[in-house]
Amino acid sequence: MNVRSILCTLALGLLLALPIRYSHSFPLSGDDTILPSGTELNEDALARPREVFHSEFFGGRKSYLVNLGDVAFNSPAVLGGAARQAAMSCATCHVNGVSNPKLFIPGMSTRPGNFDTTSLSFNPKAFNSLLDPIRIPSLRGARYLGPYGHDGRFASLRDFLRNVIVNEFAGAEPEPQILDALVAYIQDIDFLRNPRLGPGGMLAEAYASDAELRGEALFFKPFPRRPTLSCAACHVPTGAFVDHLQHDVGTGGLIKTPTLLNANFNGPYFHDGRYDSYDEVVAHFDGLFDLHLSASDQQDLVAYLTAVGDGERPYERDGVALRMKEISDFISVLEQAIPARDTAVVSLVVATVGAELRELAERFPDHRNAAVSGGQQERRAARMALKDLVLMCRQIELAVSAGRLDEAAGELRKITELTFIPVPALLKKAEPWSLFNAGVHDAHYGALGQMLQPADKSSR
Amino acid sequence: MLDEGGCGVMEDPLSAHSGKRVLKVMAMSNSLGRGTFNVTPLLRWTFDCVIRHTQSARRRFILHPALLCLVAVTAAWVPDANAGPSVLDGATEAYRRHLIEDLGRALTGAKLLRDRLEAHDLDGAKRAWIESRIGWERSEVFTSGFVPDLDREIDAWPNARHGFHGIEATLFGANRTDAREETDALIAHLADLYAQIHDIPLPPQRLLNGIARLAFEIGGSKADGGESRLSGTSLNDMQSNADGIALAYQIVFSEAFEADAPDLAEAARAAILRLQAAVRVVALRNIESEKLRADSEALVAILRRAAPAIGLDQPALEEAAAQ
Repeated sequence: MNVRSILCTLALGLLLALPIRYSHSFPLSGDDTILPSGTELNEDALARPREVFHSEFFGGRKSYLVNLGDVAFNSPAVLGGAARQAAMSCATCHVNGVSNPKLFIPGMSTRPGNFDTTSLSFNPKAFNSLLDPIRIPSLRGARYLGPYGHDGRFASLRDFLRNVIVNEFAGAEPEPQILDALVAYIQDIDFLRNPRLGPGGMLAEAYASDAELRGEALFFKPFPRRPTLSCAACHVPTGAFVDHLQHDVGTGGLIKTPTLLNANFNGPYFHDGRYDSYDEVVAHFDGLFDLHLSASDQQDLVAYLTAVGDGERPYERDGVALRMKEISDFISVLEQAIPARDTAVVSLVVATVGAELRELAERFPDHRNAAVSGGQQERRAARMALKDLVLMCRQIELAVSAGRLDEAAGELRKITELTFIPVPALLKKAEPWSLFNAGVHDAHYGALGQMLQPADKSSR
Repeated sequence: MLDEGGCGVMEDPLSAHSGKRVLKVMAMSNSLGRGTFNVTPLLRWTFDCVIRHTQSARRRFILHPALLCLVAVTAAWVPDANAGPSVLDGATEAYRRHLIEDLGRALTGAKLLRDRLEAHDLDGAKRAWIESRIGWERSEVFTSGFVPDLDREIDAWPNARHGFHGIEATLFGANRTDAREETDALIAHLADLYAQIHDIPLPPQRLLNGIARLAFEIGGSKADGGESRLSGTSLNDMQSNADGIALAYQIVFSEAFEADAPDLAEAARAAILRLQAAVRVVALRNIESEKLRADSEALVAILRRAAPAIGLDQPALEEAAAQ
């Protein structure tokens, strides 16, 4: 076995999930659904991975292409078959362009956070009669991380995306501009900033502990039995901790070297998500390469990996501000699509924004929801404002289809004004009684879970 | 000369200072001529006289006293200048009879459910629950907006204990029949509603709100199995909702829209048919959700455009809690 591969692999799995505070999650019952009973998409999580865009980080703004790509990324219409029917989109697995460590689909996952992309359910044409799930990777910093796919089978991100859409999820052949937009969107997703790393990917000594520094030294140290190898040989600190190559690390074939940046939030680890922690990953490589690491060495390596894999504010609390910002960004695509009379893009935006607005409206429980009391007028006003926006978006689509571009532009102006301050203000007033409030959220999903709990079928 | 909205005479040759009065008269005549009112030939003749008289260049500024009297009498006879709602008020009474029938069906089903529970007949209880739901869901144009408190008791979501869905959890989720207490409460609430429905006011505006709200709701994602997922009858709910919309529209609004906004009436009729067809599928999973959503929103958009033509406001998609 190639020593270099070993090193790469060492780093490969090094991703320790920080204690993420996901709130109560709710599995689909599956009784009359596309996805099987026991499916967990974690869509009710109150904490969402924070999305950092390269174009915004330095004070700029996302381009039309990036926003269009974000729309497509969140649109079930880009996919086909069961995924589309189940209202899944790219963002279902890659929440905010990151990952979804709780996603679990019976028959397609062997553990939370992995998923079989060649299953019978999503595209019979790609079915390989194996249950061979792969972990859902984060897309942060993807522009630095080619080749693409867990085994690096695609040199081009564009080719990789097309394969995901058409072959893995049975979607129609995507329009070139949609593929371009998806590429632009993914390439704009940055790593979270990690102030613990200095130039060249070295630990910033001012912040580093002794254990982390010892771990860094071990990371660069040649392997005793394969002196040409070290962890750093594959996870190159000067290059996003990757070498852009595939290596055999004893997990069943050649696997692409994964980045260690922000890896604290990318668990589970290894290509199939077999390990939950850096400890397990280090132990794997210790055994594979006869490293003879002491317990202390292993702890030091884990401390180092944890420092490298860190990132600023990895999660943000879901809420009105976050949702409306995303919706406004989506809507901004119409500023160019309407005058261009690009009916395909207009329809895609209207469908995606409409679904987002409807979903947001459901976050403000109606009068039938016994899990919340109070704020009824505020909730009602929030729901009505969001529903009105849905209809205004639909009106745009109808007007553009009929060639009434001025009318569409007028509607867009109204929507833009409403989504700037008035609607967010209404939603903010109602937020204390919404599912964004942890108490209301828990009461709502608690009641739902109690009602739908399969265990209830035998005893209650 | 009359514009399509029935309230303008913009190209009328009348002079500016007399045009305002004539405009008003002609607007009334226009409504009459479209059959919005059940007008006698005398009334029609009267307004025709006025219009002919005022359109004469020579007599533009002078109305004959006899005609003035006729106008006064006619104006006093006409019950309401807001034609649409008056006619619609009559139609709502026809709709009330259907509501009584549907809510009666829900109540009868609930009573049968109680009988089946007492007999420990699980399958029979499930069938009765489904039967009761049909009448209830067909009435949803009315229930959620007019009687929200009872709606909350009868159709609470989510709630593991009471209402239709609490009982559903016991029958279909746990496969048990010990839901007597919840069923008694359901019957009491449905009986209360059934008593109210005979004389509760049914303003057309709020019924139109109810249609629009329900049409919008049908377009919502049911990818999670919908509200009645344990019984697997979310699709039935949607079909009953669509039928309830079709019923309310046909009985209360179709004639008025056809008279005052025929193009939009045709569009609304077609949109409702599309909505009904979209949910007439074998299983919930066969629904084309994006198309259904587009159909539902298109219907609401049409109703919003058409409402002013019959003197109503654009329908609101949420009803005030304390109306």
